[in-house]
Amino acid sequence: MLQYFTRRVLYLIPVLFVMSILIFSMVHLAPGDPVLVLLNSSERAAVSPEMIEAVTKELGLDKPLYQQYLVFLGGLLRGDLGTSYQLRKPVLEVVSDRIWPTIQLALSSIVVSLLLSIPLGIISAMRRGSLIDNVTMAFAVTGVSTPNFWFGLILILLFAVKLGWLPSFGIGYMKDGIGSVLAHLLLPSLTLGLSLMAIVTRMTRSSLLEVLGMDYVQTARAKGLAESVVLRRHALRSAIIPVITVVGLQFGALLGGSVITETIFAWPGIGRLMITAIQRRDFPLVQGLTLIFTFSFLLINLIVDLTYSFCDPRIRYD
Amino acid sequence: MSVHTAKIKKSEGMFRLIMREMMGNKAAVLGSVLLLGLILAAAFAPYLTPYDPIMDMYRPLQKVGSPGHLLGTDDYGRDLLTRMLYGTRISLLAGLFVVSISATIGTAVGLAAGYFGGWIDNLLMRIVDLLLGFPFFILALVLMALLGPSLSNAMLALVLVSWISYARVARSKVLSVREENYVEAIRALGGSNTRIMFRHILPNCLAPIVVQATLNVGGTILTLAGLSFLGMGAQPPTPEWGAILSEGKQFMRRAVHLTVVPGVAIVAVVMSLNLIGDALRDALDPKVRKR
Repeated sequence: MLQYFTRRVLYLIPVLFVMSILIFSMVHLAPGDPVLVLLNSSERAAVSPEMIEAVTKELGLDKPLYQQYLVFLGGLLRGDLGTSYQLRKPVLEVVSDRIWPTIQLALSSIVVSLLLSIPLGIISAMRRGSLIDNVTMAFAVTGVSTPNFWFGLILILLFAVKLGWLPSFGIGYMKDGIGSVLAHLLLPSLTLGLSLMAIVTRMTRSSLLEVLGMDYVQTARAKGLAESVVLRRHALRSAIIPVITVVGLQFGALLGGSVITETIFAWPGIGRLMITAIQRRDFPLVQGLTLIFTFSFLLINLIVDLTYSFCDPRIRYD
Repeated sequence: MSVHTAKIKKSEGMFRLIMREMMGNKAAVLGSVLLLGLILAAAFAPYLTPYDPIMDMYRPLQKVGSPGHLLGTDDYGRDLLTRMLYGTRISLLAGLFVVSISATIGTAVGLAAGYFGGWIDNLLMRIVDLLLGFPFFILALVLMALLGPSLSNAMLALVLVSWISYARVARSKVLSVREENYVEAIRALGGSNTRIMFRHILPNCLAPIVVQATLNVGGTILTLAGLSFLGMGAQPPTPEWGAILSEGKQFMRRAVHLTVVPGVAIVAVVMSLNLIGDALRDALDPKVRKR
């Protein structure tokens, strides 16, 4: 187990190295002149050549591309992601200011969607073919087909504009009390968690149905165990493994969804930062954010893989 | 000759079996009817509405059901129903286009990797693994930053990130089909690589790819609309659903229909495609079929 863990972590190093090259070249091949963006001008002719030269030098854009990459990589190894063109602050500092809201939103949407979807999936499986099963499945099909940007707007329309129960945008802070934090979190979490909720509900149901038909579950029932014990001790434990897989696989979608959700709710996280960075052609910021998104994606996948081997003793990797 | 007749008979049987399975599935029938309606609406858009989706302007922000404008008008006074009808064309065509191109590329890559094996397989699959290490939407966004915002660039970006999943599906299927006796037999008879790959292996790998593609059309339409919503895809005044929604949300308080209608259309088209895709998957899966 420890060996497997070490190997998986070490494997991340070459992957991240190649990704840094990819991300660097993608971002630097982008059209649009960051010098002009910085000087707030649309034409080179409109600015004095000295100004252009000075800014180009300041940004290090006068060096050949491979040297720019080496500078970037060297910085990366020291934990320096470069300086944001627009904000004139180290990328890492900008990101660390904004990453907490994103983590907060991602975690709360996972919690909200799992709290709703797993019980729904279990009830559906236990009462297969009943009204509640049909309603739940209809919800699940609609959920995966609903764009989160629209769902978010409808929630705002309903709960903020019409009913006035919840704030329509922004983040809550602890100094205004936990109520404010939760009130601001609820709508964005539901928006971001919608498709996860739908997918996990379906997965829990089908996975549990499959397990409930297995011989060992029949045996457990035959020896007279109460249905709730059969469910808790025998069925759920193996039914949950595919659910974990799905949650892990959906994490990438969650990162993408955070960009949209944060934009709709004016949430001060790194998803919205990504959009502004792209719009302003802030190379180092786009680069740093992409690296951070990618790294967290890889990390989560690793954690999911390790969770498997923990949940299912048969999966012990050689 | 006899080999050929046998093959044709078998494929007919398969097709009929799938059709029967699908017709017996209420959700699939519902999805198909819904999709057919939307396709017809998109195809006959110019005959269904007297207005132009971009040029014709009337009184702005008319409510749903106002005379002459069944779904009201937008802030420029353009007829919303007209824009939605033309938007159906854009979304369906763009979704189909992205999926068919990326499925073709992915299948070709998977076929080559699985059939030739060795260093070709190694190289192609390392590239696939690497790209899978990126979160899908973030990669698409970075590509959009590189290409610049427009509908065709959004489609290109999606092709560049979507082919990967087909390559994996195709490769794993090729690996199993490659070992079949009939492939050995054709090779022994002196069949060329190209002939074996395209005449014998590829047709037997298509089922899972078709399922994957059907299920992906809906997702692709959603992602395209999402990119347009963020201002990275189709640009105004193009009547793309995501773009219509993005424009309409500014008038959320005064004109609710500009927010509600485009979303309902997106849900309808994506849901119909998902229902069909799910049914197709079940119909092609012998394990599910038996139940």
